[in-house]
Amino acid sequence: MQLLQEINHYITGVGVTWNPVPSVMQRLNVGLDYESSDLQDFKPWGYFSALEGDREDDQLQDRNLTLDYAGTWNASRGVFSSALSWGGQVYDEFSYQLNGFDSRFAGPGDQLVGDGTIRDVGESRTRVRSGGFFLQQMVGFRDRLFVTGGVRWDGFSTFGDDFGLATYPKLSAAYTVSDESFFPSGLGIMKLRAAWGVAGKAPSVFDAARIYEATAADEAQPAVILANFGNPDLGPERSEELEFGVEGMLLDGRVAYEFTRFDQTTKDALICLPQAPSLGTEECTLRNLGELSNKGIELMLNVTPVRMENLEWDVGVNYGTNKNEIMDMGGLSQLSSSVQVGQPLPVVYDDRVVNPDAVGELPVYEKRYLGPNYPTDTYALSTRVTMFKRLTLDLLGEGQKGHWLANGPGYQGMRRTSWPTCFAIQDRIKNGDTSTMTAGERAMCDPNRSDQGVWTMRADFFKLRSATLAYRLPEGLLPVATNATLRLQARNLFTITDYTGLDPEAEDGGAAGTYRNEYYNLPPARSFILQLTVNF
Amino acid sequence: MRKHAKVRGRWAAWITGLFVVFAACDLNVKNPGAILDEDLNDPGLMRVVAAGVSAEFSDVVDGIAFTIGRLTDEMVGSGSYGDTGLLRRGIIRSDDTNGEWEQTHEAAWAAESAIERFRSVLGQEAETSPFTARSYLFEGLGHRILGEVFCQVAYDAGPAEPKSGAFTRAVTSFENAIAAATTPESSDYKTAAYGGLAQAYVGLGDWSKAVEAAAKVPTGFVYAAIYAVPENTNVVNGETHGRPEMSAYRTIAASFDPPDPRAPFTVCGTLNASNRVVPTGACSHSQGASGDHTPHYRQEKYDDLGSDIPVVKGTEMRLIEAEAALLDGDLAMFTGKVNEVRTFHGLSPIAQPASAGSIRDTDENDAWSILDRERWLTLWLEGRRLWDLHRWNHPFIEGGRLVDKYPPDGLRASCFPIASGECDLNTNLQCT
Repeated sequence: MQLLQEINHYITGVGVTWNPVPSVMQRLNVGLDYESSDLQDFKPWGYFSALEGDREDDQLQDRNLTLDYAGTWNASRGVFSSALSWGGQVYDEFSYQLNGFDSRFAGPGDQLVGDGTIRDVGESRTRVRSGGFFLQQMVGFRDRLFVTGGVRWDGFSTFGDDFGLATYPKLSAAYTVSDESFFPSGLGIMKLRAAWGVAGKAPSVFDAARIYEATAADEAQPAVILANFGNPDLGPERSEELEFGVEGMLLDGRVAYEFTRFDQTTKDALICLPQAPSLGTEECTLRNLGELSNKGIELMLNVTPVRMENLEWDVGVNYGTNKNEIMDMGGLSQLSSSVQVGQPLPVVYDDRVVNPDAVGELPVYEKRYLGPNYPTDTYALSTRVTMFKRLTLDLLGEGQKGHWLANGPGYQGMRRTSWPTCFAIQDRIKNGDTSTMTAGERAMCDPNRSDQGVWTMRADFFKLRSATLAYRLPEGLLPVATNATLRLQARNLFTITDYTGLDPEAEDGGAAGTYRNEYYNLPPARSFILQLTVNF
Repeated sequence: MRKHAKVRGRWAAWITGLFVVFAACDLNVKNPGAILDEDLNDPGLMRVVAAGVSAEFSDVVDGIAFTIGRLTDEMVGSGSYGDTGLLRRGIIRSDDTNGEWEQTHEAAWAAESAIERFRSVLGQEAETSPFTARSYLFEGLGHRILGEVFCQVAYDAGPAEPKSGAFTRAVTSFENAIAAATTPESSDYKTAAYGGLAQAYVGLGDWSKAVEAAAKVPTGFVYAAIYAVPENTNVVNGETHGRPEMSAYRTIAASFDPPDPRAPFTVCGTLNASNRVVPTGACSHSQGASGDHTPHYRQEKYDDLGSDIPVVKGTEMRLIEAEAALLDGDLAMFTGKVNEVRTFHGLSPIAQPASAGSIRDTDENDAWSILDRERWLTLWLEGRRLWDLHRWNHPFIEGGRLVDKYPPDGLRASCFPIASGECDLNTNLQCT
């Protein structure tokens, strides 16, 4: 098998800045971001999983053009300062994909797409154009209190024909309270901040239009089937967020902290509203209907307990929570088992065994809400020890908790009698010893009685993501080198979890926050990297 | 001061100019790759619209044949899909019938909306258009499938109706197809519609009308849902040749050596003395993924991803006539009709059975057992077996004598529950 990918990525831009008077600054940027890739997946004739071979070639191009203009007029009078900003942007995003697949080659050799007997090809060219203006006014008071208000108007080519511009206001304040005379000097530097704002997310390319897609029927004759109902009133999702925070430093910078609390409500969420299938079609209509709540905190603390000439020790903690809930879906109580009002998005709703401890009985299943599919709590612990300004040890651990994940490999391995945690029970089943077995044991490990839902479980974990030992070589050791560092890094050294699958943070599916599980995934590999970096 | 005013005026003009440039940007984009609804209102495109109805219908048939194959005694579910483990135990849940329910309704709806477009675009010409006749045929077949497969039906977000609600609608659609099929190009659609009419009248228990309609379908006639590569491939082929998701192991098909021509299969693996599968070398897969190491007996009725699946056949019509004769106690007529089918397939005729017997008898040679076997073989993997189990109250649903070697939890399902998606969105339904 050959798997080759070539990626070319170019970013270029031109910027012009003009200050007609010292208090006025203007800039104009024109940018181009271009990326192309060519992916070749070739299984030659005789390959074990595709005996007659197959070949896939996927070519992609993304080209993003940006025109960005902004200006600022700064002024001050007495204890007040002011910055008036204005500007506008135009974006043009073009994506092109050409996918070719071919299988059943006549014989061995380096085959190309077109050399097989079953060919499939697909082409996609999409362009999204958007533009907007903004106006913003900042007012400062004695260089310690800053209040900013602004508004922007955006238009998207993906909005419905009957939808105009989207308006997004914002208001924020920042206050360096430690600059005040009443602030105790022992508390170091402290800044308080608060912000409110509205942002938007545009629909996708074809969401607003009623369209049909081409297909083949009647022995490869052209045909059309409904692809999307369309909605001419379609606009963006609007997310309104209120955020409060405090940040600062203590003890000559040896303690740094930051705390933020956010409360976000997404209104007019884009929901594909289905109708009862008996009305005729399974296609849903995308509407601006839903309301989603998203609340949480973010906490950061960095401490340097030891700071000496030849020894420094830093410790860092990051902790965040994110609890979301679907508040409304335009009167619907649910869109699917994983999208339900009053539950997190997405929620895990799966089979549980009602009689797990019953001996000699068959398992009885019942569907239940288990919990969120994505973690509600995330945390990171890091530490660094530096000795003699040359030798550094870095450790980074991360954890997640609060989420549930379906262990697909476990379920399928159990069904094939090849999952180690079930070997003992399956041996007893093979020997006919089921009368002393609990319903819970059979639900998990009897291939003919198990249900996939019982393999959905809590997936809390802590992983040591990396451990790095670095040594900066003595200057002059390598001739002509400015400096050099030898680094040994170990990744994914261990995971602490009760989850029995291969990886408690696996994502098969799960794009853009949709339901995910563990199925066609490989867990991250444990790796060791030895690296020498030399600068000249 | 004057200079500053001049500069300010210049940059103000510059800013204004830029805003004009931004404002003048046209954000409208027309992307290729999709066909707008109004663009289809062209008489020259009606063939493409009609083909779309065929595509929607083909979407339904193979999936239902695959599910029913695993749920009934047609096949043994031997693969790793989540529903396979349940289906082999005779369990089908409303969460698992969403695809079949939605696609079947959509097939009927797509036909109905296409007919509306034909009338709007073609005017009076639509009333005798082959496109209209064919679309009515697909609409009727969609209703017939709903009636045969689901325990209850519902239309237009209305309350649950008995199966007869679907069969009655099917009769109307087939009669409309026959009325529209006035040209030679529509000849097959008319014959197929008569076959559909016979199937629907069986559903309604009106055997005299069923026999009357069946008589208009020659024994050799076949109307099929069409599949092709690479689009619209036959799922039953993919799931048996591409992977061992279901097997004919220990089914009626496997009891024939050589295989009956109506139920051909290849033995890909056999069990040795240690109860382990030994590959025969005939196939790339020799066993299923299920825990009891089921040997893969690969169906060959659909030996290609582009194999079509019959939905109306003259041979089925003869068996409908045979069943009607059996219900009338006419064993001679019954035997004659069964033998018409067997002769058509190159098989030796059967002797007239000594008694009608019953579907519940263990005697394999009575008339009902013969009919059971002949329908099993003739309609194998066409998504029809569940309906026979249901309407005959077949003993298989009480124990699974052929496929499920494990003690049953209770009665096996003999029909699909209304899909959970309908239950959630249809306020007139109360699903338990």
